[in-house]
Amino acid sequence: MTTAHARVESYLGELDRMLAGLDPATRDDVLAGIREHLDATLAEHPEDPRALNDALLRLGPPEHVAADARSGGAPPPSRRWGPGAVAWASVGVLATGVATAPFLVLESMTYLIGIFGDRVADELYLGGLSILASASWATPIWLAGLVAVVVSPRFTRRTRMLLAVCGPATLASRWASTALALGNTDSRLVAAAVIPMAVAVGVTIACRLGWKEAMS
Amino acid sequence: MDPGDSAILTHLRRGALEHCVLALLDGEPMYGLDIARRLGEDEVLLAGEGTLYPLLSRLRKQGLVDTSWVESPSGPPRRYYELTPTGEVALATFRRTWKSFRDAVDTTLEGGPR
Repeated sequence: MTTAHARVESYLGELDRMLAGLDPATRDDVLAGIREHLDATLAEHPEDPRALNDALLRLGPPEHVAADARSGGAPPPSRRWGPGAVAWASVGVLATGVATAPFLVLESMTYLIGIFGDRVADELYLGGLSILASASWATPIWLAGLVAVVVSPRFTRRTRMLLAVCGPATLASRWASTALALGNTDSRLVAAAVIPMAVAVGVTIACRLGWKEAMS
Repeated sequence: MDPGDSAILTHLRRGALEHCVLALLDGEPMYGLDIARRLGEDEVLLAGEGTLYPLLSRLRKQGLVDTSWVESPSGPPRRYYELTPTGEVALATFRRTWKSFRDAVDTTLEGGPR
C-alpha cells in the first residue's frame, strides 16, 4: 500500500512540476482529477499492484497530460518538414562523408602499402592520391556540410555532434598516423589500420544515423 | 497502431472528443474514472486517459459541465460531472452538425455522386 501511494505521489509530483506556469485553476483541476482517478483505482483494487500499473500506463506519461493542458487540446504541431529541410540534411550528410571518407581510406592504404609493399596497389594508390591531392575541394565541401548539419532541424543533438566532429577527427587521425608512422612496423600498423579505420567506422556510423534522420 | 494512424487520429479527435464527453454525460452524471474507462476502451477516442482531465477542466471553464461531490460506497467521495443547460445546447448542435459532416466525408471517401 505504501509503495502504491509513493508511486501515485511520484506521478502527481512529476505532473505538478510539468504544469508549472499554467493558471492555478487548470492545474488544480487536472491534479485533483488524476489524484481521484488513481485513488478510485486503488480503492477498487487495494491489494493488486498490477491494477495501479495498468492505471498509470493508461493515464499516459505526465508530459502528455501537461502538453494537452498547455495546448488547450490542440494537436501538437506536426513534425512535417518541407523538401528544403530534407535537402539541407542530405547535403550535410553527403558533404561530411565525401570530405572525410576518401582521406581515411587513402591514409589506411598509404601505410598498408608501406608495410606490405606491392607494385599494383602502389600504382592504384598513387592514382587515387593524385586525384585527391590535386583537389583542394575537401575543406570547402566539409565546411558547407558543417553549415548544413548545424542549420538543419532534422538531426538529433547527438547526430549533429557526431557529424560535426567527423572532419576534425579525420584531420586528427592524419596527424596521429603521421607521427606513428615514424616508428617500427608495429606502430606503423597501428597508424595504418587502427586509427584511420576507427575514424572511418565513426564517420560511417555518423553518416548512416544522419541519413536515416534526414529521410525519416 | 502505426504512427501515421495516431497522427491522423490526433487531428480527428480535435473538436469531436469534447462532444463525446458531453454525450456520455447526457442523461446521467459520471465520475472521472468511469468517463475515462468508457472513452479509453479502444484507444481511438482517448490516446491516454490522463488527457481527459485537462479536457474536463476546459469543459467546466466553458460552462458546459458542472461538478458535484457524491459519497462513494467504496473509497473517498467522488466528483461527478454533469451536463449544464449550455452543455445540452452544445451537444444538440454537435449532433446535428456531426451527422452532415460524417455523411459528407463518407460520400467523398466512397467516391459517391458528385
